[in-house]
Amino acid sequence: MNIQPGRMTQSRRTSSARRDPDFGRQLVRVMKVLLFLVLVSGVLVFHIYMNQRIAETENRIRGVKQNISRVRIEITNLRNRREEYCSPEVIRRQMARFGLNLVPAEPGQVRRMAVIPSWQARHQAVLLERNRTVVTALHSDRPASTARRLRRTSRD
Amino acid sequence: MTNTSDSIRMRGKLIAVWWFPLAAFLIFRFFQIQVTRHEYYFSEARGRYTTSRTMAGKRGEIFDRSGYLLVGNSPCVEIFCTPANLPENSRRSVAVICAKHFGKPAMWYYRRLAPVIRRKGPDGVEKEVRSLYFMINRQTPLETAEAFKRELTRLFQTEKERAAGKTTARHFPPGFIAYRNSSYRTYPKGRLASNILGYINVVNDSAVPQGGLEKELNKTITPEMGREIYERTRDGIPLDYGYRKFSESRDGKDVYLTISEPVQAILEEELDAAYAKWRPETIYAAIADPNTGEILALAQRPTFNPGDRKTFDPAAVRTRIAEDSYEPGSVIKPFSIGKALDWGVVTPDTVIDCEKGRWIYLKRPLTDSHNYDKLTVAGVIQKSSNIGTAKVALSLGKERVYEVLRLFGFGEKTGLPFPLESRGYLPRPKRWDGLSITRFPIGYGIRVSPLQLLRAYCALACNGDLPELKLVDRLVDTSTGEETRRPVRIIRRTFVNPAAHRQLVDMMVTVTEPGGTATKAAVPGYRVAGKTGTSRKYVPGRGYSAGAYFASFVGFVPAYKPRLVMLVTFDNPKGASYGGTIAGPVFSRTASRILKYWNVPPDHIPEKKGGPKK
Repeated sequence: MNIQPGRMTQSRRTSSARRDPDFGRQLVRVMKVLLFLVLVSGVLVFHIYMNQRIAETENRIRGVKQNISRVRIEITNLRNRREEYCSPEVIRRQMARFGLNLVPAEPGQVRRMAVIPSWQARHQAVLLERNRTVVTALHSDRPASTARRLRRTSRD
Repeated sequence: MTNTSDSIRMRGKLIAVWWFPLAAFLIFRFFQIQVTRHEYYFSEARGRYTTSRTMAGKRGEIFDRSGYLLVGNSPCVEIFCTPANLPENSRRSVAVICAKHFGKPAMWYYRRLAPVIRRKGPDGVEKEVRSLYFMINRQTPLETAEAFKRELTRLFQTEKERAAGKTTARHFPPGFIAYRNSSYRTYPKGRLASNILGYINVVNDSAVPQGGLEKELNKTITPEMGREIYERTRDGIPLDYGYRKFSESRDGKDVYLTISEPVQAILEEELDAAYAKWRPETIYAAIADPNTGEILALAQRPTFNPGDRKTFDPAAVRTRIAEDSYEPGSVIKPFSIGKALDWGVVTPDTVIDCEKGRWIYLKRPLTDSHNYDKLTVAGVIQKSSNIGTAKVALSLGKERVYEVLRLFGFGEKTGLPFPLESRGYLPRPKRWDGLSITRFPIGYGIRVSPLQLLRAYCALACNGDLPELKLVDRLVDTSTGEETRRPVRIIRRTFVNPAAHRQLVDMMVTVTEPGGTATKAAVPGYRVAGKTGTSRKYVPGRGYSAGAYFASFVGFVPAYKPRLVMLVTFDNPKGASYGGTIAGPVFSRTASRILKYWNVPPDHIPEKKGGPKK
């Protein structure tokens, strides 16, 4: 229920209608400024957020680097200790302590053995089997020389 | 109304008069600060909020040829402080903590933690100055450093912080303490090859190498320092997104020697036994691969343990095997005789009159150890006749004798990385007297270094090719993995006639066979070619000593396919004097063990007494 007199209502209507374009323009302007401020603050917040993330990541990197260097130090210390235990003086002392009557091996007493993976062993077995077949065939022709050649090959 | 406007105008003028010069001055000052002196103020400001830290690289390590560590680095922490920044009421507690962790008395630390110290100025007057630096402990193991840090932090923590289990303290005195990651030199093999490797002393916080390869290869193994400049907070914490300049540190190069640790260990073990038995002043011993000139072992007695400074004997620290020289005696005979064979002056069967052990030449007697009458040239080598060798040298003439000795490298450095390496003494023929030609070829009157002899025997072992000795196998840059290797180099050929060389080796083999002077140098299962040497020691001012000798044996094995050349020299052994008696057994035992270790098949089955001849 409108209790205001008609004149007043009319005059207000008239003035608001007169002010409308200005008000709209101002509102747009304010909105633009607000938008600009929001954008700027958004960029700032994003920048701060990114800086925080960078700092966190760098802290984490620093931590990992510290861990790496600690592990490296441990490795170096372990290597040094291993070298100390392997030193001839220490070995000699331990031999005397435990009464180990070790003697150097005669030449040819020690043979080197290659440890090869199973697939390679299977492959070699197949090759050997193939060679044996060829050798058997040769053996039937010239027994003495082939046997000699074979012996040489197997020694190599 | 007029009055009012006039007064306003007046005031305006007054303000303008005051403000205009002020504004002009300000503008001028701004210009000066921002433009003219910008660099200065900018650097001043940066100095306030930036700081720098240096990062030390790793000193290069030294390995043997197979990669066994001989000299390494052990990581540690250096703890130092600025006593001036420590509150006086905490000084006693800090001193107690230091004493607990680092062993020295608390009073010692208490005195050094004083904020002010008295120091003499350049004018000689004592002044009180702020104490800005004190090294609390240098080579601190990582665990100890961490325990110390924890306890020190706890000292400055409040009850609340302690209860919360925090690792920091809000009231920790700023700028008081610093921890620097560092490393110290370790010698995990103790005395092994210590004279060759040398050691490090720390003087004014920098490593000063003392002798050996540590000194000679210092430039190669010294790391380059890195530096980081960064913006910091008030507490010194680096700002992650601030200004940062970084130059990386560079590790020193790792050095791989030609020395083989097991061979070196065998040699040193045998030297220790001989040192205890014969109690000489010094023993020199070296082993080389004659085919490549690579040094496999280099040892001397007495020696030292670089890791144990309490038992340091300064006399034992020198690299004497490279720096000393001596009159070699008979070990030098094969060179003149070998070249006489090569030039066809004599043959192995040429008979020489050895004057029954005493020969007067230029009114001076020359004697042999035994009274030999007539000997073939082969016999001269086998029996080590001085008279026989002198007569062969006379038939060569002094110019050619000098040429022979120079040809085998005497009188010149071997080129190993020892700057104090001895050149020996070999005068030019114009400085020789009449007797020199009979004395130099038997190893008197000249001086040689053990390394020169070793190299010369490498030539005898390897068809007369004089190799360049090599001690450093390769240098490895750890950051890039780049390897620098020096190739094997033959300096010159010493024999023209291979048959003459073979004849000489045959003669030298007889030295270690029954009837020779070094039967104790024989290695069961292998033919050994070598030569003994026993020379009287020259004492300056008193002439040749009657009871002091150099006893040597130098040889190679297997004689016809040599794997090693070995030199063993005793300086003034007690109880015996002959090289064959003293140095021969050391050669035999060492060579036998090394050949077994290398799995070298025997080349010779010794004849059994009474059995069928081979």
